[in-house]
Amino acid sequence: LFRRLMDELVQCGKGEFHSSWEEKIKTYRLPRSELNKVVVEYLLKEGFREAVLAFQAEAKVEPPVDMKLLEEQLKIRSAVEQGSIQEAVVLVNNVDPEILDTNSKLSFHLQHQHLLELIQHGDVEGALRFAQEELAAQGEESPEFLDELEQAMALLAYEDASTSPFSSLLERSQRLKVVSEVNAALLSSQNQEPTSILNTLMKLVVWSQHQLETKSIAFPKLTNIASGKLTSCTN
Amino acid sequence: MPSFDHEVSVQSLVDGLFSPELETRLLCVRSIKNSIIGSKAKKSSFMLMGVIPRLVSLVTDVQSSRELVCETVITIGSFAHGTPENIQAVLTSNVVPVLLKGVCQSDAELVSACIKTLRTLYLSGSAPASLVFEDSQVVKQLIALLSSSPLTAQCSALILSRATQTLEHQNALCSIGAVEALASCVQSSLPKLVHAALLCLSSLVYENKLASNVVSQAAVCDGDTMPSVITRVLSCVQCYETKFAAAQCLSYLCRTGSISYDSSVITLKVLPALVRLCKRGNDLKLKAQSAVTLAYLTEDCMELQEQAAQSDRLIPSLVASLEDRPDETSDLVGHRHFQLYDEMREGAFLALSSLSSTREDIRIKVISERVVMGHIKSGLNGDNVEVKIAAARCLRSLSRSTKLLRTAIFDAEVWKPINEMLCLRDEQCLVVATSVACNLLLSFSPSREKLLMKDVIRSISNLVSHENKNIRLNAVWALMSLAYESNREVKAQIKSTLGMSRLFELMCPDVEQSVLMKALGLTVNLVQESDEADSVMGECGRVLLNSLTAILQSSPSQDLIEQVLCVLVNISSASPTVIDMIANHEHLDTVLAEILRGEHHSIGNLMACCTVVKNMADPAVEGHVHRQNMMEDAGIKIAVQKLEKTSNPSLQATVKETLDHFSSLDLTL
Repeated sequence: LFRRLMDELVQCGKGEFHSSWEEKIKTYRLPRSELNKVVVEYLLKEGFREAVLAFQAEAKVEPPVDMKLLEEQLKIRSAVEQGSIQEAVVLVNNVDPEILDTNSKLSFHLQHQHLLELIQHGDVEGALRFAQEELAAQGEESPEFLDELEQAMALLAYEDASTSPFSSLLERSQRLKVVSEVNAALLSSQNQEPTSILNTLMKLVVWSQHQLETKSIAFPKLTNIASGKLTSCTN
Repeated sequence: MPSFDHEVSVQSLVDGLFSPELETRLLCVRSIKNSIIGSKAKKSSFMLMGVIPRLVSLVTDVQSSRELVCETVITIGSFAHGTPENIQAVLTSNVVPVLLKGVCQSDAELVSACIKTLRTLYLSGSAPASLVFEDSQVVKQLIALLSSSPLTAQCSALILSRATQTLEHQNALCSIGAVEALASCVQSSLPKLVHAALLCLSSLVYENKLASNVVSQAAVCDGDTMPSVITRVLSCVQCYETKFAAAQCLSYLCRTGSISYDSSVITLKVLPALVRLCKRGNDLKLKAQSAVTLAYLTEDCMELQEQAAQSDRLIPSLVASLEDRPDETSDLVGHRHFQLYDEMREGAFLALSSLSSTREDIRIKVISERVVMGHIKSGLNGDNVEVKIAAARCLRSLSRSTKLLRTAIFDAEVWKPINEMLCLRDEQCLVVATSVACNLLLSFSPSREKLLMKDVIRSISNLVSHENKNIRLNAVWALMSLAYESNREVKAQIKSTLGMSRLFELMCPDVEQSVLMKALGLTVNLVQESDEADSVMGECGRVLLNSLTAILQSSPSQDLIEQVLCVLVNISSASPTVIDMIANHEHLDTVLAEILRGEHHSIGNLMACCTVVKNMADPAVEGHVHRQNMMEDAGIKIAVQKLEKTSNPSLQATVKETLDHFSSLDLTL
């Protein structure tokens, strides 16, 4: 991807940019080992275990994190995606028992997700009891969570929760948000950065391009991240 | 948080902890663990069932399996993340010594569980610090763990940072290699470990010159010095908490003299970093801590005060922090918000106090923020003791300004809360309140009259015998300020309320010099006028002269001699009866002669001594013949004559006047 990016830049640069820019692109050499590290780190943090193993074998790269942690992450991810939140909580506690005690936001979101699962299964009584016994106390301690709790409880006012304004809470995307939050917390607890280098680089590219555009500076813009297509961007 | 039928299950789980079956006990511990993690309410619920002491006993039970012990320690660790009551219940169960023993085991998993729980307990601020240092093996093990896995090293550093509270603790750590171990941690690529190591180093070097020297000279890689490594962390790290930890450590090294105040590390790195961390928009706790450290760094250095006061609108930022009071009516505001606000106020007051302690222009700059005096008054009137003390310290700095004493300080009526503070029991409050009173009671301060109307003399007199020497000193000082250029009624009130006997108790040679100086100063002011001197000498002249003589005979400093002589100069200007009393005192003339003969005495003291002699020899005062003969017998005249050779014109003039008085007798005879 990076090599394609560089080739594209050179193509754009031929017609429109200073020769110093072209020179820099031509002479810059990104070591393959660095590229490999970035790729394997991305695959690990996103939970692609098989891809990591295959890449490791082919490129002969050591993964930067413990594979055992990756396996635990996958189990937790699977539990949340299936809606088995309590199982996920036990798994999180097995990996690091301090995460949920020190991250009240994550702790609340897991409980909140369990409440949503109960509502989705039509267990109104269970949901009310759970909200009363588990979530009410948290809402009292941390008033900033009250809005989210109210939104979830509002679902109970509808016979068909999918017709409520907060029906998006019952979609798969809500579970994936929780997965993402849990992943980040697990990585952080192991002194790892929660987001991958590749993720950060992409955000940096988007931000930098926006800055250049606002300052009306001509540059080769990355218009298609997937294909690495560059388009000249002039005033 | 796995939910279940709460009422039944809590009891059954607690009962299960007493089961004879190991597996049952393990299952129950795990269930309790999963139930309480993330829920303070559940922790309190189990705590009320008395589960914590049982868990502790499971840890020490030799029949417990390794797995059970680990799970139990983890569960206790979860309680330690709970409410203050939960933490107290854990500590009351005497678990800390058990965990400290656990840290010395060889089982890595057990050590990890124990050290994490200990870290949580020590970070709560309630764990007994001394326990760590009771067993040297524990300390050595904690230092050894600084070189183990990053998480364990981090926990170890945090425990040591909280447990290190005395000079003995600091020196003990230095002597067994803690500095070298921490040096490796500070150079780690892991931000949390670096942060923990810096906190530990800060605790190690705080107000300890020896430890600071050890840290400054510690070997680090590439021939670098520890201060350089820490400075690099300060400059390069992105995490603000770590930046603060680095700045704090360097500030402590500066205050102990290991880094010079004018070094570029302090002026170009540390001070600007602390100023930026005090700005609005930062985390409130971090701002508060930065303000406190800034106050500490600058309190003894005028140049740093000046630089900070000019930096980046620091003073308006600090004052703006005082304005950011949480909204009591908002549902989103809890107890924690008010706690943080109070910490911020304390930090802001302390920082403003240091900045305005020396320079008048900075005091004016602070006061130009119009809301400051209102906040100071509010702080003085509030319930939070730390805020009260910090507000009073700020007021003390501002009250060093004559202009502000007459204007903003009087207008704000801060004398009222200060007067109330003088009746409190808290020693720190009394120390600072009495020091403020010293300024508010100065002759040109309009607050003086207001305080007099509120019986301040009684409040302060009650503190003159306080066991805290700083309170005693300030109380005497305040009375001395009050007596200066006061009318007779005020001086009479001081004498009657304080009692001359109590004043004489303070005028013994074995009283600490600072208090003795002020007591003498008070006496000087009480006998300023002739009739006042007559009154005092009439009541207790002999006792006073005995006290003064004893002081002069005790080989005092030049400053003390000066004060004693000031008293003598004043009382020797009184009536003939009083002058006779001085002259007839059995040892005083000998002591005066010794002063006049001594070559090491200051010009000022020699002049004062000559003035006393001159007053006693004054031919215009009845009985001068007898007194002059006595002084001649004591060798005083000869000693004065020898001083004629002095090159100092002022002394020469005084000597001449004195000898003229003796000459008038010769002429008469």
